[in-house]
Amino acid sequence: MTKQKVAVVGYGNDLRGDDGIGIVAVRKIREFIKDTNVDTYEYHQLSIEVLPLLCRYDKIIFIDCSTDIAHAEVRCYQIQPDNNITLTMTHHLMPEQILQLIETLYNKTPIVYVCKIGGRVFDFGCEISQEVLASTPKIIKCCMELIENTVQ
Amino acid sequence: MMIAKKISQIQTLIIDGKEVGGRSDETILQVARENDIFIPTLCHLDGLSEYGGCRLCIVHVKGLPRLVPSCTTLVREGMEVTTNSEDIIEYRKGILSLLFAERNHVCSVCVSNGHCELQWLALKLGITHVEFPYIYPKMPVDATHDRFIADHNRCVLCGRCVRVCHEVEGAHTKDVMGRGITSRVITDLMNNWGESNTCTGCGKCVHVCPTGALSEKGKSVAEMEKRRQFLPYLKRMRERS
Amino acid sequence: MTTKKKTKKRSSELTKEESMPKELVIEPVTRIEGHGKVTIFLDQNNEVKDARFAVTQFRGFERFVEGRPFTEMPSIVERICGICPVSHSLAASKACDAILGVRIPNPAIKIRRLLNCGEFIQSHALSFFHLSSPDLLLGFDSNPAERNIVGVIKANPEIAKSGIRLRQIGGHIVEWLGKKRVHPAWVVPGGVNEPLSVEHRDMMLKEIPEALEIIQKTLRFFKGIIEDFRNEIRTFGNFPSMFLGLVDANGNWEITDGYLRFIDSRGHIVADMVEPSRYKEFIGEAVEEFSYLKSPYYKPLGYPKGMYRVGPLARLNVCNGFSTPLANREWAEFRDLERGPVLSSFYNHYARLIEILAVIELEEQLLNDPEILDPHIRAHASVNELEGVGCVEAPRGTLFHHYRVSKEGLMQWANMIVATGNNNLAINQSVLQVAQHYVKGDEITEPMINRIEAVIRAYDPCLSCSTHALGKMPLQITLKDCAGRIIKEVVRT
Repeated sequence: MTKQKVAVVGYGNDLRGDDGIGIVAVRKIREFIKDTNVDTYEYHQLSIEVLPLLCRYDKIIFIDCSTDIAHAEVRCYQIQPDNNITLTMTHHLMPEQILQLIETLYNKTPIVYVCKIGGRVFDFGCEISQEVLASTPKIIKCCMELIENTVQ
Repeated sequence: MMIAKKISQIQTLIIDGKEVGGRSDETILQVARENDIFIPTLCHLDGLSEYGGCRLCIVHVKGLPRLVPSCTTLVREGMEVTTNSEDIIEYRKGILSLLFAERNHVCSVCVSNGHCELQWLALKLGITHVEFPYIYPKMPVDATHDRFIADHNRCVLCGRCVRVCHEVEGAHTKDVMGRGITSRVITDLMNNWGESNTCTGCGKCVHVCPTGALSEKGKSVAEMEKRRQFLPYLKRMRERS
Repeated sequence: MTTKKKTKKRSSELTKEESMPKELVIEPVTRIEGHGKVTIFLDQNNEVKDARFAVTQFRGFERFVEGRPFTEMPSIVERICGICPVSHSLAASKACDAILGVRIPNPAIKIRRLLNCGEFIQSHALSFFHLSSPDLLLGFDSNPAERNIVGVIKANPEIAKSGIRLRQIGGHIVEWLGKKRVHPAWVVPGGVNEPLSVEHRDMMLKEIPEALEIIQKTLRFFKGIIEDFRNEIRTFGNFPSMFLGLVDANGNWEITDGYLRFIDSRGHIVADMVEPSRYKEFIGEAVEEFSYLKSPYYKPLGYPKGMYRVGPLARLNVCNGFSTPLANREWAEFRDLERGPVLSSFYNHYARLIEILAVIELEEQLLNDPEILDPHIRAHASVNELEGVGCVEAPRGTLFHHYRVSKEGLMQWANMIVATGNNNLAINQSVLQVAQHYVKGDEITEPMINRIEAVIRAYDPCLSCSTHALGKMPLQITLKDCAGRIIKEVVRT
């Protein structure tokens, strides 16, 4: 059996406090990854231009900061394509939309997970709040589990 | 120097909880660096005399009422030094922020972008924005020299150019005039650099400058990389003779 | 849409005002504040009398570069724009070359040309696929919430995919040459600061067949639907004007190193093989009170009669043809549309596609030239001339940078004529034409707003990107009477 290709994508604005946790986490994860079938990416935001790149993967894991969940809470789950795309900005897409667009445009159905971390501090600055930073090992653990489940 | 070494004694002290040893003619900064303890510096440069001007290397010595610059404070037996407490870091950030606010440091279009010590320090200390209001002074650019440019907008008055010109080249073309924020590095008695009759054109000042204040003419943005390896080498050769 | 009365007036006053000349203001309130604004003037009979396109933002680049070493210019001017930074840095570096008084080494000339190719692919693909295709594929009157790139993805995934890929390919050229996609500090006075690596050359070559296939397919598709836009073709900036563009020594299409050629509205060449450094003899710049954007005009004809257009359409109109085979064939077909120059600004979309084809062909030629890998890429000199002009074709049209320096090399004065500036008079004229056709009385209707937006977008001025993100421009339309009092205000958010 051929190995599945996995992309780990951390995104956010690393100049706005907690929003940068996706970037910080993906950089940490990169240090752990030995498998050549796993690639890591950092983005400021998810734009349409990422589609031709990400459509080549069987599994995609997005790491992002979220305001919907409790501060420093880590939540990983699989997402489904979102059919009701109403764009807020042409250069900013949600993981659900990415999945939907990959299906529509490239006839691929990757398994997509989102790893969310609850953020609270979004002031100008590279500093991530202590609580969120402390949850990094948990994020790494979640993501590594998700990666390893495929790469068997 | 050989004599000095003989009479210097070994002192033991504690830096950041770590027991370390150094000679009595060594500064806290030297001993810290020998022991891989990071203290930021700007006006200090290996091979030049200590000046204690930028105050970025301030540390706390137990029993002293104020913070002291580690580059000009010699180690003493039994000293207890803290280099990186929260307070000290805040002071350093404040000092660095004031440098940014004082002149026009526009990194994105600076010849030294990416190779600048001021920029590197800001990153290292986590300065993402400056809380002091910028002064935006109108600063001249002296491009009269055939090969070099002095852009006072980027100068932090660290005095490295002044010291290298005096101590190593022996020309003493550069100096500082004025007080406080009106200070400025000058050439001779405030002449244009290109008209200086003391400048030997050696370029040492350009290469010890931590920012884009002194650069080689013709360099475009981010192209000015400084080479400083020559300095400790030159110093050693002189001491030997 | 919300309608509100800005000023309270007694009804007796209103009747009086209604018989007076009125002013319609369409002001895009975007994230970039005070950028562009359209004002339409009505006369007593509610007929459109005049229209103005104004840029209300002042950035002052020409002033704040004063006193800086000229060698910083290519990087400073890149900050003028995040869409076409390459064009500005190319024009700046050419002005700097002139100040150095050098002829830059051949490999550097070629690498700069290659970089411009990347810029054209990237920018034209953005304009056509991301910004204009929603109008073209979904219709000007379709639901604004759907009229965006995602709407296009749903309606025509093939086209959307092509656009995304083509933009990526163009972006790769800029990224691989300049190490950075948005503000590459890489073009320098005297040449470029790093040679092209074999690895990157090969990576670029590998993408060419796919790029060629995409653009040819898109061209076929577009030619198939172009008849549907007969109405827009007729009314979108369709008027006689002069055209300006660069041509090479043989009079062929050229975007990086060329000579100025002006043609009149019937296609006669009125000035040819003009060294760009002589632009001041041919171009005058008028200043209007209502806009920060200057209005350049062809000097011999005076202002405002000397109105000319630049950009894709203009370039295809002024040239004798293309030096690459595929683009040349498309050009011949394009020029068959009309006897003289093609006049409708709507055809800018078509011209853009032909230009993408041309730059891909040109890219291939350049990459297959072994000299492109030569490390001799920079000429060094000090200030030899106190004045220098640099001129390139930016995706949006001819771009001039003109600098004066002190003998030490510090900037004394700068003048820049950007593409949108060159087109200023023509955009005004086009807005007027569309307004005359679609504005009926003092009613502010959705189709009218859409088309005014679209005609501006046909010139692809920089503000188009910021205003098309939502599929519609957030607009504020104000109806004023002749005394400047607001009668009606419509806000579309």
